[in-house]
Formats: sequence, structure tokens, C-alpha cells
Amino acid sequence: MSDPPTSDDTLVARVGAGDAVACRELAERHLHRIVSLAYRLLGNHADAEDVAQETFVRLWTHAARWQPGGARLTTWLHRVTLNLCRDHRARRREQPLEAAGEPVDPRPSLADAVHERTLALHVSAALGSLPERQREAIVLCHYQGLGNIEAAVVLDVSVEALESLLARGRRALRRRLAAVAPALLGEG
Amino acid sequence: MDRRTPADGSATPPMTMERLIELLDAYGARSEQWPFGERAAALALLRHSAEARARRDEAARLDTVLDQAVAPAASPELLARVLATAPSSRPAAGPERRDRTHDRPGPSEPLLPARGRRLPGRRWRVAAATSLAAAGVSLAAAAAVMLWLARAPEVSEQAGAAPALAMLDTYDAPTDALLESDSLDLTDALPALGCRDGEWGCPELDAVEERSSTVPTRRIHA
Repeated sequence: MSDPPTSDDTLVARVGAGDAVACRELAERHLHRIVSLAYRLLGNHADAEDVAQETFVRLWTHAARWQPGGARLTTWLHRVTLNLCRDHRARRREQPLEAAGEPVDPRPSLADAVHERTLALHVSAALGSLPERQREAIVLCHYQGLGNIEAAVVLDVSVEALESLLARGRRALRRRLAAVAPALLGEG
Repeated sequence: MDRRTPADGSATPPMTMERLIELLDAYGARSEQWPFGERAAALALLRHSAEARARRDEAARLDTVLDQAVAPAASPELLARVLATAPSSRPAAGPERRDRTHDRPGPSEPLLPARGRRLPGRRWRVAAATSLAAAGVSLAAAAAVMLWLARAPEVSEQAGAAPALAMLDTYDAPTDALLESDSLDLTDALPALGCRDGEWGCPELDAVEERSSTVPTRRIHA
């Protein structure tokens, strides 16, 4: 029978003491999820990896001052990544995500739309076209799987405000995607 | 206490269709995403209401479409970059830095190249390449100026007062000194393959002749 996984708090404490094994374990445990978060917020893999790297640099730096039993590490990582993505997007306002990710033909045929790759592009484009807060809320809850309380903490809003962002975001997504995948949404 | 964030399920109000629709609109059809305190009541309503199930299925269809957008995985290179910035991998610039960061090799950690804090990233690589290119261009320019100065009196005698533009096609310009050498025959450096003997050693490439056979071959030296 295998041992239970070491807690994040314990690993962070070991990182603070310069433990390379703990660094690797934390990176392998959380890196993929942080890259996914940054990718969905930025729409670019290279930028997402840069942000993820910076997030972990901050974790290494902060580890010695980590307070066990306080915020969950996942919450902290999501919050730092979210802020880095906001900074990144603010620096490149001249090339917004929606412009970079928009499909060439906004009205492809149904046969194309149901194609997995095409549909994925449409979903990414629709997500990128949402107002920033709505997109962040949907990424945190739907894609990252955060609970409502944790997502609200990351966004620094109330749970009611989070629900409002989620509902408005999902309604907007449904409207946009109904044009390209009506059958999949039961509107065909 | 906020009804949407109870500490446990004991104070949960009865679930209404209106509230279930709000949950589905916000969180989708996956019950694990619903607020913990309202989950049991929402599932109970689903068991007893066909309308609730229809609403749930509608939300599930949007969930399925959203799931089509898959995020790429973190690359192995990124993991290496991240670990290169970890405390035990940071460079030991001096005793004081080593003391601050607890530098020491880990048992399973390869010793990666010493680097700064915001490193190995894409921007760092681009900046390094740009710096190297700029340094190379600067050195080449300095060498050209030195050669120009060394040959300047001779050139001015040859060129006289002729306009500079008239010299463009005569290969008498001072920078031609870079192509000439008293002791080195540059034609020796031409590749044997794809090159045939011509009037001036090997001034013509087969490919050039095939591409534009009607264009006269230029002479290398006047």
C-alpha cells in the first residue's frame, strides 16, 4: 500500500529550506494546471509557459515565508497566475486575445463546426471574446475545477458576484456557439 | 450566513426550480461544481422533476461544447526551466547569496547552468541572441573602418574627384580591399561542387547560369 501524498504545505516548507526534491514534486503536481490556466486566459502557449515559470519563481521566493494552514497552495497559485496574466494582457492591449484567436470564417458550415478541431477553435475564440472577469470566472470554475468559494477568493469577489459573472459568461458563450454548433447545444 | 456558502448542509433552504436554474446557469450541470450546501437539495429536486432534468441536460450540452477547447500540456522544457529557478538550483554568486537561498545540490536534481532569477524564458533567449548579433555587427564595422583608414591615401588617388556613385560598379571602392588579399586567392575558397572553371578561375555558379543565362556574368575584378 502506497503512502499518502505529502501535503502541499509540507512540500512548500521543504522548498523554503532548499529541498530540490520538494521543488520537483510541487512542480510536477501543479505545473500542468497552471499552464492550462494561463493558456485559457492568454490564448497563447508560449506566453502561458512564461507566466507559469514566473509563478513558480514567485513560489520559490515566497516558500520560506509560507504560513501552513492559511490559504491553500492551489488558491495562491491561481491568484498569482491570474494577476500575472492580467499584467501580461495589459501590456499587449494592442493585440487583444479576441483578435488573435478569432476564426477566419465566423460562419462555417455545420459539417465544419462539429469537427472537433474547428469547434475547439470556436470555443476558444468565444471564450476569448468575453469580458475579462467573465472569462476568468468561467476558466476558474469550469476548466480549473475550483469550487465557488475558492474561485471567489481568487477573483477577490463575493460568491454572489462570482455567480453573476458565471451566468452572464455562460449565456454569452451559448449565444456565440449556438451559431456554429446548434445541434450540439440542442438548438438545431 | 450567506445561503450559498453554508459551513455545512444543515441550514440549507429547500431547493426551488428558480434556484436550480440559477445554479445550472452559473455552474453548469456538474453537481460537484455546485455550492456544497445546496448540492443535496438540488439533486433531490432533479430526481423528482422532469423539468429540472431537462434544464440540467441543457446545461450539460453547453458543458460538453466548452470541453472541446483543450489546453496544451506543459512542455518538458518548461519543467526543466522551472526547476532551474528552484532554490537549490540557483547560482552561488558568493557566500552571502548562498546563505540566503540555501544553495545546495539536491539528491535527484541535476545541476543546471547557473542563471539569474527571470531566466531561461523565451524573452531571455531572444535578448541574448540580439545582443550577440549587435556585438558581431559592431566588431565588423570597426574592422572595416580600420581597413578603410589604412588604404585611404591610395584610394583617394584612384578615385580623384569622381562622384561616389560612379564608383559603385567598378569595384574600386575602398571596401573592395576587404575582398582582396596580396597573399590569399579568394577563389580557392569557392566550393568545388556546383562551380565550374571560367575565365576568372571559378566566378560563375551553375545555378546562376541556369537561372539567367542571358545575363552577362560579372567580373570579380576590374
